[in-house]
Amino acid sequence: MRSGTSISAALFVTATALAILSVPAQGAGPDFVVIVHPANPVNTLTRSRLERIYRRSARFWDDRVRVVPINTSFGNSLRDSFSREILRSSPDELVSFWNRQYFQGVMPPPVLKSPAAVRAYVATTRGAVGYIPADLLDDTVKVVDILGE
Amino acid sequence: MKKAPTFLALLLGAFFLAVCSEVTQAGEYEPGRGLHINDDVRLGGYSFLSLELRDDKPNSLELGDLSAFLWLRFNSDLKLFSEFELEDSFRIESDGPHTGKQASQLERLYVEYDSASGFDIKLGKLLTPIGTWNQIHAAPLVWSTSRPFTTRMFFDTGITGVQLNRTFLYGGLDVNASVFGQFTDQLDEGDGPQRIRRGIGGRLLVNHQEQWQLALSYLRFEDEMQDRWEHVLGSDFMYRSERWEFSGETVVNDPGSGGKATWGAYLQSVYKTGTRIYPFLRLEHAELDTDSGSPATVGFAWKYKPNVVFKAEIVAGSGDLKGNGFLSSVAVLF
Repeated sequence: MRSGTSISAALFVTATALAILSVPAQGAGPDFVVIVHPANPVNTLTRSRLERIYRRSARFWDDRVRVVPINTSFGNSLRDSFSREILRSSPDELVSFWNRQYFQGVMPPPVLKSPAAVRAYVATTRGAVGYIPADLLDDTVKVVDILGE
Repeated sequence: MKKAPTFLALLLGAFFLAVCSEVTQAGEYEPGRGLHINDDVRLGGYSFLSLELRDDKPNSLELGDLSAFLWLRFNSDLKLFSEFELEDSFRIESDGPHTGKQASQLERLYVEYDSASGFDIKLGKLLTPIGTWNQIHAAPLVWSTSRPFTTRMFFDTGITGVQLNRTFLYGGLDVNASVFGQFTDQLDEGDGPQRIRRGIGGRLLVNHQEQWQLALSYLRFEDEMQDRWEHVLGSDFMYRSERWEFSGETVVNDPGSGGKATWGAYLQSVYKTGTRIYPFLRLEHAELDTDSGSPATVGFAWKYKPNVVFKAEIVAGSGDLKGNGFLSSVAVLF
């Protein structure tokens, strides 16, 4: 019995830790979940990997499919939350970053006007990754957990 | 040269639109991100209007570089990028208007192949990857109207050749290693003090999540102007915190036994006030063949819009290269 209690306690602690570390990402703004195409074998990403994807320095998935990161519109509160929590930059800093990249021929992630459009695009594009409110999730896309740095 | 008036008119129109536009629409013109013709073609550019009241030159109001970008994607791995520039297009000096030299220049024209192996290759005319400033020298992207001597007096700012890049993670750091070389004649020669005939070099850059970066660059090149081989060694850094940005570059040009080594270095600090106004201070020293100088530049940049920057600065220093005076400009990224 004692052994069973210890295992239950360990499981509880582990589950609690995972719940704290995994998505949906929490912050001052609205919650979001990170989504990919259902055929994408990726199940987890680190925050820094996702940041590199959105800064276009990581350009391919592990299976060599090109990554297509999708943003929502500038000024959208969901995008602000994502920028703060994943990219850890203010909107102004990101504008400066993309101004420099644009001059070097690197374009920022394409923008779709609504989270529903992001979901629809990700559902039909093998390498796409996006973020949407958790309540927009359905089985046309797959959630990727953000675990650790 | 005949293209200049049309190009000037087009760019002036774009300048006006970019300053006035409030609209950001995907699929059309987006200020600072160009004219999005379709998913595979985009047009953009930048320009600036500057006022210079310098001790060593006539006072002037100048419509500076008018630059146009073309971004063309052939498929997901292959794209073309070009930058065509009309330099010194129109200037009013104390004694009246001047049309300037109106020299058109192909600043960049390259195809880039980006492979899943982690390598990407650029082929064509490129900005020489020495230091950071030279690679992002556009007026809307830098804090000051004046450009440090360090970033333009010790090497040819463009090469025509090939650049092989590899970006990878090492110990949590983004590392970008590149080798580059020029093995043919320059596609369109610049007007700097060096002119590369042949050359080979490399650059290693370490970046930590856009918070800091450190880079070393090397170029061995044959200088057409001096008809000799020269070594160029450069280093640059950048550090950003919540309130500050510090950056700097050093460049040494050593022609070996063929002449005197020359060098330049600058340090620049920018304070983030929390508004759109960014005061900055830059200290520089440069030693050329015959001249030397230590200009200090203090001023501010006001980011009126994400793609429109107003700047004002005072340059004061000692030596032959000081260029003392007051400079102000408005720069627009189309």
